[in-house]
Amino acid sequence: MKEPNELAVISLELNNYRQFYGENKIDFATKEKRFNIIQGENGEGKSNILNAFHYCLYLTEPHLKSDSQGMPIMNTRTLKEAKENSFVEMSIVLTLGNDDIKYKISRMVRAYKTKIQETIDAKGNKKIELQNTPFGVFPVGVTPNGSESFKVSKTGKTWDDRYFSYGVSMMLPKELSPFYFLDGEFLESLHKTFDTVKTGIEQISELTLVFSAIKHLNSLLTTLRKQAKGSDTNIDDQLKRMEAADNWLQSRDNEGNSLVNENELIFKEKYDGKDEYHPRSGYPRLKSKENERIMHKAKLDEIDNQLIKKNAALIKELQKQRMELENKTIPELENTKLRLRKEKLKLLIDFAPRVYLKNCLEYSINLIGENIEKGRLPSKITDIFTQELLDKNECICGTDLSKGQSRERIIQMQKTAKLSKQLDSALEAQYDFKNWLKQFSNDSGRLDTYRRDLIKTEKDLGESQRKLKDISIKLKGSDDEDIAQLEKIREAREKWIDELSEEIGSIRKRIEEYENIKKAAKAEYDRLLKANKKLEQLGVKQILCENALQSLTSVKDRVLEKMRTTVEEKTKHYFFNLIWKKDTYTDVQINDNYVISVKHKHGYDATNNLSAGEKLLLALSFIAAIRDITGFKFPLIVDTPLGKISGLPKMSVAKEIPTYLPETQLVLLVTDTEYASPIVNGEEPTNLLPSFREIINSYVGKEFLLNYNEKEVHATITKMKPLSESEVLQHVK
Amino acid sequence: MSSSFEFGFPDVGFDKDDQEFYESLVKSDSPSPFRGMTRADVFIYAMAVGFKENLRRPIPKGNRTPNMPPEAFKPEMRWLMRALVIMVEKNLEGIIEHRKVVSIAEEYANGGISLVKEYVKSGSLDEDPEAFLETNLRKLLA
Repeated sequence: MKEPNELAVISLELNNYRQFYGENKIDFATKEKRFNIIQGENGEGKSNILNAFHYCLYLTEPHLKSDSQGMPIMNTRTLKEAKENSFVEMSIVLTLGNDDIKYKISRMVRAYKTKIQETIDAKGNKKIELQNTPFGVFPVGVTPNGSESFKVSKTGKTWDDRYFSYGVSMMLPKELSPFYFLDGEFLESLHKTFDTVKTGIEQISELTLVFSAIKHLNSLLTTLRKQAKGSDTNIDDQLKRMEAADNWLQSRDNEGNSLVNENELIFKEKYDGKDEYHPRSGYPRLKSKENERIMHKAKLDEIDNQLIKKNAALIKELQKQRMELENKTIPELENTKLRLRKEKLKLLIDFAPRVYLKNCLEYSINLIGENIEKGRLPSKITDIFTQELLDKNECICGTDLSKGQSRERIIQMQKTAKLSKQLDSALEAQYDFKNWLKQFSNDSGRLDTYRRDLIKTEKDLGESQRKLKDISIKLKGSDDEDIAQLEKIREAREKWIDELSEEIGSIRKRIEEYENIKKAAKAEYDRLLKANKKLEQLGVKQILCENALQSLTSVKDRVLEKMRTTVEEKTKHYFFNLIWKKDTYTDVQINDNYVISVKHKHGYDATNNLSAGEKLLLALSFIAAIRDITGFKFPLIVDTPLGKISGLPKMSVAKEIPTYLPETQLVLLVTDTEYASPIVNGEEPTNLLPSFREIINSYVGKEFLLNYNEKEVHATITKMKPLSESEVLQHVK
Repeated sequence: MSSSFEFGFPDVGFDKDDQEFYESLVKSDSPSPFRGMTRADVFIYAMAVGFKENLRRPIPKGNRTPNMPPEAFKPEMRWLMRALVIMVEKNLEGIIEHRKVVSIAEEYANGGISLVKEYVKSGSLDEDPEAFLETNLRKLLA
């Protein structure tokens, strides 16, 4: 049963919005059967349903596909049918709620149509002139105006108005919407795009005020430093050095404009008409290069997947061997090498001081031994022995000890023994020193063992690399041109990745150098400012500002760190609840750079080698974690979640997905291939498995079919024919 | 090793001008062989190297920063310091005076750390720090 404060989408009305001509309403299932399915082919309006949610709440459409870009937001048939000098309306109405409360959120655009401007293109075709407006793209000649309303009701019958922006932000702030309105591309790339992970964590940390204060203080500090200019050439020099270093680190000029290298285009798989260049230096350049490397690595994965799907047995086998080497053998060997080096280093650091101080140990052993022989140690025994003599008043040699010098001597001996009690610890130390010296040959032997093991590991690594090269040569020499070509592309990508890695390492080193220059210049600037009596007050202000900045930055870092670790724990919790290979993976981490990774039981990073289904579950786990922390109980709307998943992983996802966020309504926008088609088992293609639809059927409340009629310029939403009794299969986990 | 004997062991320090250097050696992403270890590990190593190379240098007045508590040093490390003091003073009594032990150890560490700085500056610890350390050690073990 749903928690009292979980919201569900009750209905969505799309009136003259994009493909949806006239009035269209979808009533969703909201109770126990919480899955709602909208099935349609590509281009029929699925993504625009996702966009409709976003447009209604935030007046933006972040999921526009290429075929919708450059198209008017209002249905073109409606626009055409409307008379000149009349009004046309478009609206989206979203009704949400639960047993306690309901919300009705409406966005309406009323446009005044005059004469639509048309031009003739080079081919002689008529083309409508379009314009960007605050409400979306409209034809020139149509002037839109918009209104919105946010209503609340306890009963669903009488509605109270609320302030729109406030109401929406209390329901789901725009910054968090990417984690509730999801598309397949976003899910696919989540583990690669640390920006998204970072944004998510920053948003839920609610540090807006802190970020704002930090920005303001930085600006104030810049102003204060400018005030110090002109008073002393040495101070000016240091300020210039600091500014120059900072500008290099942020890849900007003295006016604060971003600098790019116009000889270095950022590589894009699909050219989108925009030339983008790598930043010239510093952190922006580092980030840009890292992003490019991630993109190439993802493409490499795709090529590997293509090769392994090839029908030729030999190719399949070679690719399998390569993946085994790259994903298991080599990472394990590198792990072993790292571990051995670390252990050897630890031994060296522990062992070295004992070797260097060997003479001290030997000397101490001998000195302690001498003291034992002379009876000075252990002093505890001397104390007991002398007390006994004093009590008896007689020495063991028969001397009278009841009075006189002899007694005095014994008393003095006892006093000395008492003072030396602490030296008794040296007895234990002597034992330990002797053991340490004995262990020299053992420890030396251990060093030899580490050296041999490292040599062997290096040899095995070399052998594995050689095998990889052989596989590549065989694939490049394949009779199948496709395969040979793929392999050549793969090799080129790998080379590109290696070059990028080298460059990234080099950029990091330079960043460190510039940070050091900046630090040194600041230290000198601070010193000069302090020494300048005229600038004393300015110096005090700067110190106050810097201290405040430091405190706020520390607060920000601590909160973000706490939030990161919390999200990490929760992501891990959800992932291991969802994943079917529970023994294969041991950990999920989000590191300091907000990169999500999954650790294989053999110790290596398995993230890039997760199957498409596993990547989806990882992304959903992260989403669930963010959702948990934000506390915003909004339903999840997901477009094309299964696009790249096929075969057995798809079946596994189907079995696991009903357990995902059991109290949350899920609206899935799917294609027929994703949803209703039987799942093809890659290992046995003729043995078809039940479809995703059949497997999750018992959890599905409503199913809708989206059909776009190009002639009518209208997408219709109808109910899908339910599965028959014989088609429904029960699947027990 | 008796814990009551350790009572009163003071904080151990180094020259405040070397603070940054110590930190840079133990950072988790440092290329140095001490990455991920503690400043106490660096101190003991520097002390041992300082003794070996006969580099006993007092910390300049006003520069001593006692920022390593006794708990930072394993008992074995403290006894290495005492073994050094026994050798230097040529008697056992010195080991009772914890402050004296720490003072002498600090002076040798202060001398030794300058040698570690030389290693870093010369790049000896860059490419293959284990090999460098091992070579030095094996010369003594031979």
